[in-house]
Amino acid sequence: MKAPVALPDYAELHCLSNFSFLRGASHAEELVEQANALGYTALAITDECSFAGVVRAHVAAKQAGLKLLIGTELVLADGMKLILLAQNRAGYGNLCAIITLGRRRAEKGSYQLSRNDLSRGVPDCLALWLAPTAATTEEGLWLKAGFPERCWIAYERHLQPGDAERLAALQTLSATTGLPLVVCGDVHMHVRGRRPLQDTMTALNLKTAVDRAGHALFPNGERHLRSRLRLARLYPPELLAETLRIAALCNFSLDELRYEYPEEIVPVGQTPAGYLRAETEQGLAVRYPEGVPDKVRKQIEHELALIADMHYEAYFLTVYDIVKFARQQAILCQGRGSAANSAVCYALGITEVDPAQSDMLFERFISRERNEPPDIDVDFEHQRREEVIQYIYAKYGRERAALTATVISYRTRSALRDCGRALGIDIDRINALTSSLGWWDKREELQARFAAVGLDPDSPRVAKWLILAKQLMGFPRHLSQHVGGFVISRGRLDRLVPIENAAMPERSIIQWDKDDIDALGLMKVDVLALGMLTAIRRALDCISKRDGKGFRMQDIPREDPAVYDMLGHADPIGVFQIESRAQMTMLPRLRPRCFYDLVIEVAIVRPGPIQGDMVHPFLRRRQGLEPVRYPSEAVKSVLQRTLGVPIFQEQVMQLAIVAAGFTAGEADQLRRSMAAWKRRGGVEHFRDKLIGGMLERHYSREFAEAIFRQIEGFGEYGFPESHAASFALLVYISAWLKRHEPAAFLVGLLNAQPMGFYSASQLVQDAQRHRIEVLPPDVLHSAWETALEADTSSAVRLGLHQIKGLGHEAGVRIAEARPFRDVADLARRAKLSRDDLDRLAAAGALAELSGHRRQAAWAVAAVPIQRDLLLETPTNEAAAVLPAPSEGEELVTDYATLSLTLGRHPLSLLRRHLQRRRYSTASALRELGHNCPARCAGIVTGRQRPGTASGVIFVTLEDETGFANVIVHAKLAERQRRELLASRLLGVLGVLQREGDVVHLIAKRLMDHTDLLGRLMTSSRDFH
Amino acid sequence: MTGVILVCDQAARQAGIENGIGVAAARMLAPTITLLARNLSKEAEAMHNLACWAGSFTPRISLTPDTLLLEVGSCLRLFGGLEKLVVATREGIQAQHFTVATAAAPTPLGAQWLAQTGTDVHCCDCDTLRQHLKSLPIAVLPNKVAKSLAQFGATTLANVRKLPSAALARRIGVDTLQLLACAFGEIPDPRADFAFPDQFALSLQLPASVETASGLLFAARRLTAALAGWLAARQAGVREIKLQLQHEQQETELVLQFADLTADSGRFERVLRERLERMSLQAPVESLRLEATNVAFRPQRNRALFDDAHAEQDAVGALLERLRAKLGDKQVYRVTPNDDHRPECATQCTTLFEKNTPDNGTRLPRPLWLLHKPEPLAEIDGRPYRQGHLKLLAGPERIESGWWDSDEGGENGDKTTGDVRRDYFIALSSNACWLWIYRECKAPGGWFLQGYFS
Repeated sequence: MKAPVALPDYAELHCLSNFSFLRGASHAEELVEQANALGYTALAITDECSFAGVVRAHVAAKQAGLKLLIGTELVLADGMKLILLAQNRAGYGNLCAIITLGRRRAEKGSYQLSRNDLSRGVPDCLALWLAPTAATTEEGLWLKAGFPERCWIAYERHLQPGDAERLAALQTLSATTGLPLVVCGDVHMHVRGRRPLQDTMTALNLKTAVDRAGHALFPNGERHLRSRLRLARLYPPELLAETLRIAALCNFSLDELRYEYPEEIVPVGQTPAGYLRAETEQGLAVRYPEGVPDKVRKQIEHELALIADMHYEAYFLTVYDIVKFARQQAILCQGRGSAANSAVCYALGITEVDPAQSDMLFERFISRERNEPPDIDVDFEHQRREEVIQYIYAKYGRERAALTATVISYRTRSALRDCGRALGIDIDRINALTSSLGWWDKREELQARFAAVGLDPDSPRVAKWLILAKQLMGFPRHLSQHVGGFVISRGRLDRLVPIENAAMPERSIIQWDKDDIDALGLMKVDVLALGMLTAIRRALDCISKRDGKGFRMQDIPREDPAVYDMLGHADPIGVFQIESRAQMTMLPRLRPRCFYDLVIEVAIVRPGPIQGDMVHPFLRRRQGLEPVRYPSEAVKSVLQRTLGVPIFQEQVMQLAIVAAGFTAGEADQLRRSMAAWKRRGGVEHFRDKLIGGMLERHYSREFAEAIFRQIEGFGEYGFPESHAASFALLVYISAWLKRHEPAAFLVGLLNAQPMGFYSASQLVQDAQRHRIEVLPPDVLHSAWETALEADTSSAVRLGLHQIKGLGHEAGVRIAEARPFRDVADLARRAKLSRDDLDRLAAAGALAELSGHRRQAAWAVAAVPIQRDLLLETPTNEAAAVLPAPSEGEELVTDYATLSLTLGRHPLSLLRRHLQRRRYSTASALRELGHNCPARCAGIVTGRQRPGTASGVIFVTLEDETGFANVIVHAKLAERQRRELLASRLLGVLGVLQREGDVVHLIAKRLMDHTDLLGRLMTSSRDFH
Repeated sequence: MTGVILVCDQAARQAGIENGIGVAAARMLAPTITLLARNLSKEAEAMHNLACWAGSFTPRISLTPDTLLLEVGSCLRLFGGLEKLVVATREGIQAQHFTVATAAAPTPLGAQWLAQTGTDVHCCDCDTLRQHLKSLPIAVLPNKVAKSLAQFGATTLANVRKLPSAALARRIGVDTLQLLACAFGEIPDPRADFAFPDQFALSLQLPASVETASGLLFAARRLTAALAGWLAARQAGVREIKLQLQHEQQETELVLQFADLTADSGRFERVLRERLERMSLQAPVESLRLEATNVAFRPQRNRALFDDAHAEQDAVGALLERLRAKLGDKQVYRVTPNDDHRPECATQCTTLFEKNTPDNGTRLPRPLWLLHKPEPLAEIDGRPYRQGHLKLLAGPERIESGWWDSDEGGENGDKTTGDVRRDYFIALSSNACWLWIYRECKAPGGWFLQGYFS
């Protein structure tokens, strides 16, 4: 037996995480934990030209108490391979700048650096040269000059032939260049067991299968974090000791990064605090011309004190600056998110929710204990958000402002697909398997699904496939741009974090995502796009223009009973947020009577309250069917405004404080982890504390469990009250417009398309049902966009934009060149192309100029186009008389060219056929009683399978009288899959279910009547 | 796979799938659907072969991407009238497992449109033709034109013919009107004759199934003879021909390779005979298909000058061919490198005439002679032992690879090598042999000899 040797200390200086995409086969957290478990002195994360993984590593290292070095692996254009390690904050900043340089210059996903870029070295950084055996002295001396006393030659031993010779060669090189030697591990995985995954990634990188990748794969699994015992056998002790010397020279921690707010948001000569106070006071004066209410004054003082304490003035002022710009440009915007509904934000005009009318918990937005920055998201009109983004770029410059990244990770489908490809599994089989993933969580279905595509589920290859896919899930694939999260800094942003190109031209992103930013306490402003704001602004513009005086959002009277009456009758098409079937059916039950009811409405139809079983108790209490009881006065103070049922995120936090003894900071921690549970788990820790705390305070276990269930349900979807309030305001505004200015509202909505939920066709039909006259697009009357018809208040003229395929510029030229003598005149003066003319003719937009569609098509076909020199002007040809198209044909063409029809609804053309089959209309359905057998047919406009409704599918049918909601239970859905999924015109035989005004048709049998539609084109919007 | 469903079978139709719907939609309706990609080149090939085949009816053939036009006016009598001729062509095509829509008309375009629309009209006079043509949909016309015409409200060719023709020509172009005139027989419609193929692939339906290999030789002789003639006419030779024996269920493929370009029917036949005699048929053969898979231009030789050299080369080639034909593909092979870390998998047997895959250039110390199976070595005093202690000269080199085929069956039912984890050393034996040995890293471990450097 050999005497036990003391294990040498070691610091790993060359280690890739999975942010070296398709190379590193372990998460940064795994690497840190493993290095710590092995007793390493330090670990460097050196992803290839990237810092995308360092924040995760930093958080894990802090937790584990391991020293983390930050560095990067670079391969220069001439093949020279280096590790650069940051020694301090300055060195880190220099590395950020080098990475930025290399990334910005190359396409997304790659980088480009040459010796020129490093000719003067990188100050405050150490260099490790991964010299090949054939390295020259000249290269070494070049490096030495750039990194005097700061450069090493790295020897990495992976049990290859000629290891000893290589060491000898490097020793010679060291002697001739005077560069010292050190050892490192080229670590690609935290444990040897990741070798299959690492091989898989290599194969994917080469776009081949593992069994064909051959020598491109590593010959063995040595590139993992090896035990110190093994390292002691592989490397000379003095070289191991050198790693420690290097680690000791690097003393940078990401904790040193201090976010510095931009300076220019404060006028010269003022302090941020003074300026914020002044602007707030000025805002208050405008908001409360009759004097600031005491409650608000108290709130303001409390908030300003807290903001001053935390030095967050600059943050509020940054957002204020952006919002001010938007105001100046008349871009509608509204803040939401954690700090938005503070009294300060109301005063600054960031939000419109009056603190005098609500009871917010400002502590929640800024947590003293956690020292985390506040969070304000601002929604802008979606069509004009780009102006705001360009303003930010112009004001701060691209060196100081960039979007945060979104890490796109492997999900079940992509992991299966890529692993399958690497294992050489036939691509069609992979597709067939991954087209629906219902089997993934169900072992019992797995067998059948694999067998169905001709794969043996028990075969070794399939077993490997599943194991690898599981490992790959959650691995980052690439960085994408966040929808609108901006990071703005005082100095150069690229000295704080590397910046790289996004896929979208003219966009750059930092290498960190929002969790990273959060973890480091950096600040970001979310500049988001919201279609409804566009629609509202367009509607307001339209009213202003008609009335000849400005009409603003503030001018809309609040608390109008007529608006609530309309919402209570479930007539909400087009209204913000009341879009999903669940929300629509909730309205008649909730019967909102005041603004706060809308706040609740917005928050209640969410997975959180639904999963927590909060909806029905709330409704029963509201309808007076059940008494409201509170287990204690403390709880009453929290839950009174929602009748004892916790609906908002804030209430859950407050409950944790008053009922379970959490501190405000702990409650905030609870909220933050709520968002992450879905992804990472880890509820148990809070469960014990929460339920234990409540039991201690003499609450019943039943109550405690119910609260916990709701917290769980909130997950990522929980709505904070502040958020709900911001949205509820838009609900009210849009509902008011629909009730009092329906024509203008339709114009706003149509000009803001596409917005997601309702199609133009549905909006127009709804308007027609409300007696709005909608006129077809016509070259003699229409502008590019939809507008109120001149001199009327209830007629809407569709814009030329409604014509499929017609270009914006052509449309504008037509509107400018009006009027026209004939189509030739139109073509010439509006400089239209042949395609434009054809589209106008087909869309019926030439009706006044040349008659019905066929005549129009005939007429434009003979028009000479300027570029068509060969075509002569028609010599007085005899007019051809073409028969007018039938109504059905017009309808088909309407849908094909405009996506909507102003004529009769297709189903009214088919009504006779449907009557013969004893189908009633959607409106007749609403008159039937509960449990009546009923049948209804309509065009399928939506199929939804909500996650909260176990396998039930909701189908929306549309006919000439409106909509019918159909519920298809899972069993029927499985049995009549074809009818359910393939029908465009669906007949449903079933039983009516009525609850007050809410009517559903429970399907018993489905009939496909698509053939009746003939060529009629309709497109269903599927939401799975 | 993306795209749309071109055609589907009865079961798919029952699941709600229609021609023309998207692949994603089809998968949604029937998750277990089998999708076959459309193969345009195969379609073209089939049309081409049909054109060759149709040569037995008429020498005047014209081929469009989806239609085969036979000029039969001059050979009606030979086949006993139109009806019989149509039946014969249909049966001939169906026998080759194609579905066909036929039509006959006095104008080629007329016949083409009638067939495309599935009218099943076979007429010989222009009046009848016109009647039928008039009711055809405008979809027979080029897409773009059909779209315009639809906008004018026309749905049939009759509608189109009613529109004022000068005005119409200005709108849809003179070409289309000419097209119509061709179809209606108002202007001539000359077609380019089908040129004989550049590639050789012929099928032969056997009159009755053949159960003996030698029986096939006689039938195949007709194909090989034809091939030889075709090659001679083109001044070409083949390196490889493929003979497919089609059975009722499956098929057997014989690939005959030649060391060099040849056009010698005797050589084809000899190699084929040796192959056929050696094999036993799995099932009766229904038809044969012979394809020249590797044809190249073969300049005529100057016999007087180079006859000897060529003859010698031909003789070595012929010998290898005969050896291979006689001993079997697997018995005559070459060893070539294979891209794999595992020594067992680092070489492969390749067929004689296959092109070399270039060496990927890894220069690793590997012995020339590898044992068929690693030989276990004794371990004495913790050191490998083989007629004395072995002295380790270099190593370890760790090879750890191959997890992807562990526990899987190989091609010939052999067990695959699977994941290995070994430390290799170059060792010197007591009798001064340089050996390649390894220590197994997986339990139970042990030393093994895998090869000799000398």
